[in-house]
Amino acid sequence: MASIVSFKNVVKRYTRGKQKVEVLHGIDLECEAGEFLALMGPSGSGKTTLLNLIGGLDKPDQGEVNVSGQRLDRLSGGQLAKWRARHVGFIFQFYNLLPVLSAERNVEVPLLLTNLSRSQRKKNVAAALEVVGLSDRAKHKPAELSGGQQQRVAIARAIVADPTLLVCDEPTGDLDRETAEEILELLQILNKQHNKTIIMVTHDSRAADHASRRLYVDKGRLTTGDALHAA
Amino acid sequence: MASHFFRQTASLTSTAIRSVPQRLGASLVTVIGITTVMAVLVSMLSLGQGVGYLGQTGARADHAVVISRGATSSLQSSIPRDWLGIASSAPGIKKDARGQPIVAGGLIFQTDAKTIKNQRASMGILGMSSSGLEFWTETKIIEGRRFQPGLHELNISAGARTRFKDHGLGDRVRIRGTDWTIVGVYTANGGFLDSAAIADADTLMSVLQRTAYSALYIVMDSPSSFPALKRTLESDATLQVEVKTESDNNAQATKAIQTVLDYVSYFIGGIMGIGAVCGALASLYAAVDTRRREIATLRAIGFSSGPVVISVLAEGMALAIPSALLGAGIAWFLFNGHVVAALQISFPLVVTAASVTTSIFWAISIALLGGLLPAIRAARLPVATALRAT
Repeated sequence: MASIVSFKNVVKRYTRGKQKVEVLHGIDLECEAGEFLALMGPSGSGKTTLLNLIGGLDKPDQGEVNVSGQRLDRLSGGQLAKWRARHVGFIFQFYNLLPVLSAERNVEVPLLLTNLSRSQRKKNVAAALEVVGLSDRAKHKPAELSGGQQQRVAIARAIVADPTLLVCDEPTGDLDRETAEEILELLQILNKQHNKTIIMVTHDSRAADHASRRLYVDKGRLTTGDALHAA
Repeated sequence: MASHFFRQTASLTSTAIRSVPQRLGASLVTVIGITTVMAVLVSMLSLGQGVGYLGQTGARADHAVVISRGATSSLQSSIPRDWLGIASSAPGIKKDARGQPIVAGGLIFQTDAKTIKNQRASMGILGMSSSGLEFWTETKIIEGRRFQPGLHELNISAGARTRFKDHGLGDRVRIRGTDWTIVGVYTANGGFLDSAAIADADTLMSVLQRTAYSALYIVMDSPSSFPALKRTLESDATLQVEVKTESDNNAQATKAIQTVLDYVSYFIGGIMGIGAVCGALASLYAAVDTRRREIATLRAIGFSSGPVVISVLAEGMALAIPSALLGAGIAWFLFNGHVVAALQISFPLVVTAASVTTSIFWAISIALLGGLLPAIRAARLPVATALRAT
């Protein structure tokens, strides 16, 4: 299978006060289309920084970042925004839903960046809510939903524009074990049945068990983990 | 592309405005600040507007005023008495019942008086020649009788009688060492005469030892006679005059006062406006900080920075415009139509559509100035950092 994510000697530095701190040191990474990759590591290891580079939220200071056939390190901020809209769905630890909008309006947000008509947007939103099992909660606002339901809405928002890549930052970090399992099973379904490539940052090794491969980030360096479950 | 931008902007603006109740405290800072500034600004502007309104009240299109060349209005003008006869022969002047052209000499004079609160003030007196009542037809005697030419008699307006101490019917007013008796009280139509007194011009001129009127007041056959009348009088080599419509003359007479009042209004409004800008700035910074995660999430999804800027500015305007209308409404409720006495004249406070438009323009400016820096901060928000911080 072709690589959907390819990093070559990627370096990322942050400025803290007057100092430049290197948080990723020459990362090389390949991730194939259709993979469910778990990125693990202790706090401050650089795994979220790596995820942000994969999702086009940040740019490297050095090296090549190639995602979905696009050299992200060569794009401007505006170009990256357009690229993200087309290619990436984001799932965050705290769901990051807009509190004033209903579930269906939250899910519709990424479609506002497309040329779809209102009726087509409505159909796609309904389909996405159907996939996550929340069709009956479409009119509810986030505050009227449980944590698990909010994360399902966030997942529906991430998939509604049919991106090639789902980027998940601790998607079960704010959920109880049972609900977390349900969310992880849903991600597995998206990966296996809907062929979404998923890259997930997690602290939780049980969460990583749902991935097809895991990698460890430690002190800014990537180390390979064992291939886990066969797809 | 344009539709994307519009959709992004509409969506962001809608969520920003709909989330205002969640930031009620900070938003109220903007609302109260702008409402207060606009209430004060519109109230202050109502002074100047009132003076302007006073100048235009009762001005008739068939009235012309002749002033000396170089004077800006009848208040600074001086017309020798014998010019009245020369001017009377001009074309387009209406004739009275006796077939005489209606041209009145008018002398404007200020005399000292004490208000009912015992404060020193000035009262305007208009001395009018025999045709004066044909020009100022709006004066109606409500008590007593008209003054008699040749006698030291005054008619006083109801407004001036209320304002000044010992200026009732039968009271005596001392002018340059001579006692004048108030023999009648009149009402006019809300113009200058409603805060003044009237008397016979020739008698007043003899007491004041003057030989010139302030201006000549002409009733024309019709408004269309004005160009010919103006051309004739201004081209007459024996006269050094300018001819204006009554409306223009009154506007010039009140312009200086209105300019000063407007200057003071804008100065005070401007000082307060700076405070309101700071309030809006703090409030919108707080809004951006509160919505930090929301903005970062939308940026992550692919929204561009332009709509983010516009949404922050739009939130400021959404707070500012109703605040301006509320402030103007408060000013209108408290002051519109109230008559005040200041600068030797009585005039109503008038809240006009122009004042309300000005307040909205100011409010939008305050919102834009106050929103600009927070909007830039929102647009420059480093998405990855902002997402991590939440």
